[in-house]
Amino acid sequence: MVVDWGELYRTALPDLVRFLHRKVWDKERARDLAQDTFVRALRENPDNPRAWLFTVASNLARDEARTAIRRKRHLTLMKTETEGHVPIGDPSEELERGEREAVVRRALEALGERDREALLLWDAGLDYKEIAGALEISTRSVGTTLARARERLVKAHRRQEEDDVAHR
Amino acid sequence: MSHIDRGDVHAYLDGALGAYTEEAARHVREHLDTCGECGLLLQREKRLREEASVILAASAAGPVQLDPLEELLARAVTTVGRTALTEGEVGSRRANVRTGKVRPIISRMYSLRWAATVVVSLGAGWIARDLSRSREDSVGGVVGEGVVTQAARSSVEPEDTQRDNAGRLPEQETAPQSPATAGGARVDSETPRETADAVTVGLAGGVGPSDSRGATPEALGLDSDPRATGDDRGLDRVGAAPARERALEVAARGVAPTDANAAAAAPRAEISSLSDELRSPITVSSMPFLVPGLPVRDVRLESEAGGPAPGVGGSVTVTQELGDGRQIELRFVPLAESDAFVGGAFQEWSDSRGGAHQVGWATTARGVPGGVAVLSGPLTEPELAELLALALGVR
Repeated sequence: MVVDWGELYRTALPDLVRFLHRKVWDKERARDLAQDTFVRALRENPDNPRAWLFTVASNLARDEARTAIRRKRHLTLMKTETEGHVPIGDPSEELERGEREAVVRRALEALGERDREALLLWDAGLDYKEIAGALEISTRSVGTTLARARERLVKAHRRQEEDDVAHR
Repeated sequence: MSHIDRGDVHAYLDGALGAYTEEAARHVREHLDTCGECGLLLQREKRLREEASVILAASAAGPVQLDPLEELLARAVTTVGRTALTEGEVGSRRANVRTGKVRPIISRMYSLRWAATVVVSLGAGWIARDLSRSREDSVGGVVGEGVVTQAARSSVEPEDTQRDNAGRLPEQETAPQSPATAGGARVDSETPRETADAVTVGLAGGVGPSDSRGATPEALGLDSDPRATGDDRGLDRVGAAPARERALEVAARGVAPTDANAAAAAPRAEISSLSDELRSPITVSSMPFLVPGLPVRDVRLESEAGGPAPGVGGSVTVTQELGDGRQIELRFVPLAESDAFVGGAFQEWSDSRGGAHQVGWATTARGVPGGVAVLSGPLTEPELAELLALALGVR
C-alpha cells in the first residue's frame, strides 16, 4: 500500500500530539513522543500507519509513565524552586487553564483504561474500525465502550469540580 | 419492537454506522426515525456526547511547533543502534512526501542531512569510546563540539523503548518485514559512500586521522555495521578490556537474592551539597561517567519538564550491557549548589523494562561535581556500588 506520508504528517501528527498530551500531560514531551513515533513509522512502513502510530504511541506513553514512576521512587531530588519558570501569557489565564486541565486529568484517570483509551482514540480522530483494532474489541462494541466512557467522564468531571469547590 | 442500545446510538451520533453491516446500519437509522423512546435516548446521549467533547477540549495541548517532515524523514535514516532505511525505501518515502504536497525536498539537502545523521551515529560511538578511553588513561581524541551537538540531537530518541513497544504490536507480528527490517541493519551500495563522506565532514573538528578523506568506519576503529555504534567490539579495540573484565566479574559473581522490601526500608540516605559547575543545558558531552569496557547500547538526553529555569535541568542516560543479558542505566543529573539531594541505595520490583531478566531494579546515587550520578539496573546492592565505583573511576 502506498502511504501518503505528507498527508499523514499534516493530519495525524497534530492528533497524535493531542492524544499523547492527555497521557503524559507535558506538551513538549507529547510532541517529542509523537515525532519519534512518526519517525519509527517511516522506518517500519506499516500497513495501516495511522492506527499503527496511535498504538505504538500509546505503548510508548505507558512505558514512559512506568519508568517515570520508577525513577521518582528511586531517587528523590528536592530542587529549590526559587528560580525561573516564568509562565507564558497572562498568569491568571495560565493558572485557570492549568486548573481546568488538572480537573480533566483527574476525571480521565478515574476511567477504566479501555474506556479512556477508546475516548482518547476517538477524540484523536480514529474511526470505529481503527479503535476496534487498537483495543482488540469488535467494531460494534466501540459505540458501547464510548457511551460508557463519555458518561463516566462527565460524572467524574462533575465530581472533580465539586471537590475543587469544596476545597476552596 | 426491540430497541437499539446506547452503543448504536453513539455510533449513529459519531457517524460510524459505516462500520456496521449495511443491514444493521439501516436498522439503526430506521428505528431512530420511528421510535419515540429511542428518539429521547438519542437526545440524551447527544447532550452527553457534547458535554464529554467540551471536557476533553479543555485539556487540548494547544498549538505545538512540529519539526518539518523533511527533518523527520532525515531522522528515519539515522542508524543509531538499529535498522535504517535502504536507499530505495528512502526514495519511496520521499516520493510519497512529494505526493503529499509538502514543500519540495532538495536532494542535495537530503544528502547533507544523511551525512549529518551518519556522523551522529559515529559521533555517539566515538563519545562512548572517548569516555571509556579516558577512564583507562589512554590517549583519546577530542570530539568536535559540532559532532557532539548533533549526536545529542539524534540521541533524544528512546530507541530501545520504541523497539520494545513496536515489537509487541500485532501488526508487526503479521506484517511482512521489509528488507530493511528483515535483514537487520545495513545500508545499500550508495549510502556507504555518503557515510564515508560524512565521516570526513564530521571528523574534521579533530577526531581521528588528520587525513580522513574517504575514511571508513573500520579505519576509524568503529564497526561498519550501523548497529555497532557503541558495541563491545569497538570498545575492546580501545584497550578497555581490563576494565570490562572487572565489570563482568561483578556481574559474574552472581546476583544474590535480595529482599527488596528490606532494602527499600533501610535506604542509606545521605545529604550532599553540590557545586554549581553545570548550571547549563545538558549535552551528551556532559556525561561524566560510564562503566569502562561495557558496550553502550543507548544514549538519551531527557529534558525535564518544569525545571527550575528554561533550558536548565534534564539528564543524560546511558544504557550499557553487562554481557549476561542484563542492562544498566547510568544517569547524570546536573544540580546547582542550592539543590539538595537525597541519595543512597534503593531497591524495588518493577516491570517497567519488560524483559524477565530485568525485574528487580535497584538504584544507587552519588553526588559528583556538578550533579548526581545515578546507576540503576537489575543488580544487587554490592554490584551497584562496585559498578558505580568503576563508572566514577574509583580504583
